[in-house]
Order: sequence, then C-alpha cells, then structure tokens
Amino acid sequence: MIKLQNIELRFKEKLLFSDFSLNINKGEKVLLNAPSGKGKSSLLKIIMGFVKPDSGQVYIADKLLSSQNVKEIRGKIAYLPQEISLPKMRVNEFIKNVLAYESNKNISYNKEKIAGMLADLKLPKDTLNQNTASLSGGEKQRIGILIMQLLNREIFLLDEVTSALNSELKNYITNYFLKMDQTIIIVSHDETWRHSDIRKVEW
Amino acid sequence: MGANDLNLTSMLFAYLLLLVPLGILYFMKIKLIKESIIGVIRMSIQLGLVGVYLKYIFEWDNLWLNIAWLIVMIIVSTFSIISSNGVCKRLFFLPIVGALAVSLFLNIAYFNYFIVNISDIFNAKYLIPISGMLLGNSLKGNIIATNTFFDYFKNRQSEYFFTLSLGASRQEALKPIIRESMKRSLRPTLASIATIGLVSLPGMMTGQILGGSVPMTAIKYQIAIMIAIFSTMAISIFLVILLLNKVSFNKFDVMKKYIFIKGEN
Repeated sequence: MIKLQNIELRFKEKLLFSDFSLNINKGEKVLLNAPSGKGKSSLLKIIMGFVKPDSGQVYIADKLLSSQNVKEIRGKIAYLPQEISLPKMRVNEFIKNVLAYESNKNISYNKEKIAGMLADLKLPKDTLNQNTASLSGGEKQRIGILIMQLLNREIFLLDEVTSALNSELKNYITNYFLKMDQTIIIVSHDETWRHSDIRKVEW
Repeated sequence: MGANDLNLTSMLFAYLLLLVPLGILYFMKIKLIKESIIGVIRMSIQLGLVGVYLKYIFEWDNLWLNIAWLIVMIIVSTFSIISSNGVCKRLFFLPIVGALAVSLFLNIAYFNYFIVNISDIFNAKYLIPISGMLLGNSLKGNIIATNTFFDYFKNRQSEYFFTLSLGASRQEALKPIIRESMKRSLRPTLASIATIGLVSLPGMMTGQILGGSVPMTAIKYQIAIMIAIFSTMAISIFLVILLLNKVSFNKFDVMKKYIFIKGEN
C-alpha cells in the first residue's frame, strides 16, 4: 500500500535519514520509533508530498507520487499533524466547512453518524456546538480523528495523536485505531503504542 | 494667494522641535534616537531632491518624464514591500510592480478624467502628487497584507498542510488567509476614513487650504481622494495577493522553499 524506496532527507544540512526503505501492506499498522529530531514527522510529510525528499521514491497504491497525482494520492490519505490547530468557529461549522470542499462534496453531513462517532470517541454530544478555541488538546485530537473518519480515507497518518489524552483514553484510542481496517502509520512517544503488538520500525 | 514661504529661521525652528521627542527618547532610554535622526535626515534630503525635481517636472510637464517618475515610485514601493517581508526579490519583483502599476493607472486615470475633469490625465500637477498619495497608501496596505500572508506560512504552515489533507484545494485552503490579509490591511484606512474631520484634518486638505483654496473645494477633493485611496488599496492588495498565490507555490501546492532563504535575492 505504501512503499518508500531509498529515501534520503536532510534538514538544514543535517542528515535525517539516507537510503531509507519501507514497505507497508494494506491494512497494516506501523509505529515509527526513533528519537526526537530524527525525522519521523518529516517522513509523514514526505508521504503526503508536503516535503520533497532529497532522493528516493514514494509509492502509494503502486503509484509513484508526483506533482501530477499528488492531489489524487492525498485524497486517499487522512493526515493528523501534531498539535492540530483548528480555525476559530463552532465544531459543527468546521466539519461543515470541510465537507464543503469540492473534493468532499459526495460526503454528506450525517447527524446520526457523527453523534455515533462522538460517542465512540468518548466526546460529549454538545462538543459540536462548542467553539474550537475552547477545546482541550485531547478534545481537538479526537475531533481530528472524527473528521478523518468522516472523510473515508484508506490510509491514516497519525502524528502524536494520543499525546494530549489521559492514560485511560490513550489505551482506548490506541485500541480504537488498531481495530480499524485502514493502513495506519503512527508517530508517537506513548507507551500504549509501543506495548501493543503493532509493527515497529526503528532507526 | 499662497502660504507663507518658510525661511531658514523657520526651518531651524522646525528642526528645533525635534529636540522634544529626542529628549523623551533619551530620558526613557529608548534606542530610537539614531533611527529618528537618520529618518529626519533622509526625509529632508529626499524631499529636498523632490522639491528640485518637482519644480522642473511641473515646468516641463513632459508626458514621458511624468510616466518615468511614476515608474520610479512604483519600483521603490515594490522594493519596500519585498524587503519588509524578507522574501526572494527575483520571484516577486515583476508581479508586485505589475499589480501596483495596474491599480495605480486605473485609479489615477479615473480620478483625473472623471473627477477632476481634465482631459490630459497625465498633467504633472495632478498626476504626480495624487499618484504619490494613492501609491503611498497602497504601499502601507500591501506591506500589512503581504506580512500577514507570509507570516501565516512562516508560523502556521502545518495548519495549511492539515487543510490540504482534509481535501481542500490550494485555493480553498488559502481563501481564509487571503480574507484575513485583506481585512487587516484595509482596516486602518477604513478607521481613518471614519474619523476624518473629527480627529484629523488630512494633509492634502490642509495643504490646499494653506495654498489658498476655499475650504469647500479642499473638502471635496479630500472626499474624492480618500475614496480613490481606498479603491487603489483594495485593487492593488487584491492583485498582489492573487499574484503571490500564483508564484509562491510549487506543483505540490507547497510554498517554494527558497522564498524565505536570505541571500537568494
């Protein structure tokens, strides 16, 4: 599903990785495990086409990522960056704005479905009417997860998605993702991921 | 009838006034004294030269000379906008020159032809000072707008990436940023439009009254010029942001890396 071939990346002259290759099958869950500053988040950005590696290729669903197909490929991936910031508005307005993008127009705002997802993510129902500015870090992360799921993407890239949750929720959300069908790459320093039987890639 | 000319003693008194703010800066240990003195010296030299230049430009009133002067003003404004952002000159010079030139030309032509009602829209006496006012204000507005735009990408790039990842096209992702940039840049002018007359008597009006115009004429000019300033600002800022948006991104919709790299000028 995701194939990285001989990736090399430098950040300000510092070599983050060279000749890095990784093959991830459909439905597989992978934890990227490396010390801070070793380019884990950059690797996710490379897969999204936000960062161009100094050399090497990225294949998503057997297609070489290029400027021609980057939009199509991004359309297969849901990406949750570290400490997401949401524009200041009510949560349901934000969701509606996202669904109003041209490429999401086939997805409708389904109240029952969203209510069900809120419950699954252990968020109170009235979260939808709250302003994003009043959400805690953990609530924002879970709203991010909710939107990712609404978008129905095949691949999830998660950057520290459980960092702001309490330990009970960390466990819960980790298992929540592990049960999914999607192909998932996780960057996280949380023990819950490391202790799970997820595939670990280290460097 | 004109204003009293200011003789050397008058000017000495004018500069003497400077000692008060400088004294305050010195007393408060605010490190702006050198900058203030340099600023005043620069202003004096620049205006001195312009005084000489304008004397001839009004006397000769030559079409090409007038246009050349406008081009110089546009280029100086462009460099000022680019350097306030610390971005790549090579990439932004032509788009900004183009945007300023188009918005200035449209507005000055309209102003001189329809409002002042002169058939020679390139008449130096109207063209040069009014263009200067339109361009000066556009410059301020464009600096605020472009700073807002680039600051977003310096500080909140991950938000933009997140928006793209949610399925937004580049245009969709940029729309709120463009709105914010325009809003911030137009707001100060709107505020000054709304308080004009109550708080400040604007420079142009004061100048005309000192120059011997009846207050009503001066006021009508002032109203027209404020609207023209607002229009020139809106058009130029809109065009500049539109063109920034065109040239700043690579084919992956990511802001080109070398834009902020110093020395890449």
